[in-house]
Amino acid sequence: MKFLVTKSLHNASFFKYLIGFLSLFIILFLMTDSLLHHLQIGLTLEKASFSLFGNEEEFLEPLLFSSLLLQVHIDLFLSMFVVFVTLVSYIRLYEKSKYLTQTIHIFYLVTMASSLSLLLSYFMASNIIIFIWIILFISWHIMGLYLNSKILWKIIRL
Amino acid sequence: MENYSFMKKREKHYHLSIKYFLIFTFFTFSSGSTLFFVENGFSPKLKSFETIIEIFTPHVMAMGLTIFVVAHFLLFSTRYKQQFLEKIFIILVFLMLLEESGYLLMSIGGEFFSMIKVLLLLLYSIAFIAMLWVVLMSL
Repeated sequence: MKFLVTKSLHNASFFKYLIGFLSLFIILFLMTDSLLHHLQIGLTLEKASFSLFGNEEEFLEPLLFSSLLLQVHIDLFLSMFVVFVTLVSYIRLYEKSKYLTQTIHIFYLVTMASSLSLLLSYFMASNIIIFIWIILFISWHIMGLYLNSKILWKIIRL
Repeated sequence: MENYSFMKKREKHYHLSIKYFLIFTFFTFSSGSTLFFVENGFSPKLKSFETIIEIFTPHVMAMGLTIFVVAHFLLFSTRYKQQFLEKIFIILVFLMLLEESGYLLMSIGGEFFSMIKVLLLLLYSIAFIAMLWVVLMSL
């Protein structure tokens, strides 16, 4: 493995395949995860509000706290690995990027705040916090898609 | 060969990413523990064999993976002796397996083991947070 000595990605085609397909899988995950959350909770204010607090007119029961906590627990676990793996690849490929430190801070903080705001919206029973959750959720998914697309683009061009 | 200053800069970014990852791990762990106490309180009830396997299967994989990822950062550390790290790792893995087998122990040994299950969770929590702390200090 010449790569281990030179640390250069230019002649490491196998390594390019590994990172390339990993990014592709993360892109697929981010897309289907958005769809899944829209179907289960809702990415519109009205649908998310009905899912969390129920609706008497439509006979919708409010979500149990333990069900929501389980959802947040799974979300935290999956997003933790997605963000970490994305950033590790991104740091390796874009080490000369001017805004790398800021990218790391923003990506992690937005992702963490997304899961925590969903919990907070349940406790506060507030539509404003649900709206913040929707914004944060969409933001971290768009950031993930953007960073992984950049990784994939660079890998293809190497 | 790579420029030395770039390697140092990259290392700084990796450290930042690892620190955030540790915070994330703590939140994931806390949400899981809270979920356990919300559903069971301090005296977990007996569960069916299917439910036990349903809980055990994702956790044994996810916790094993998380422990591996968190602990592997210590491979790059020169701050602690290998023997110390090995001991912490073995204790953590052992406690994790025992804690995850808690419901199974309850189904064999009865309600008495519900206290053991809670005790094991507390012990595992202490060991896991200690591991996170050791990794944080090694950066």
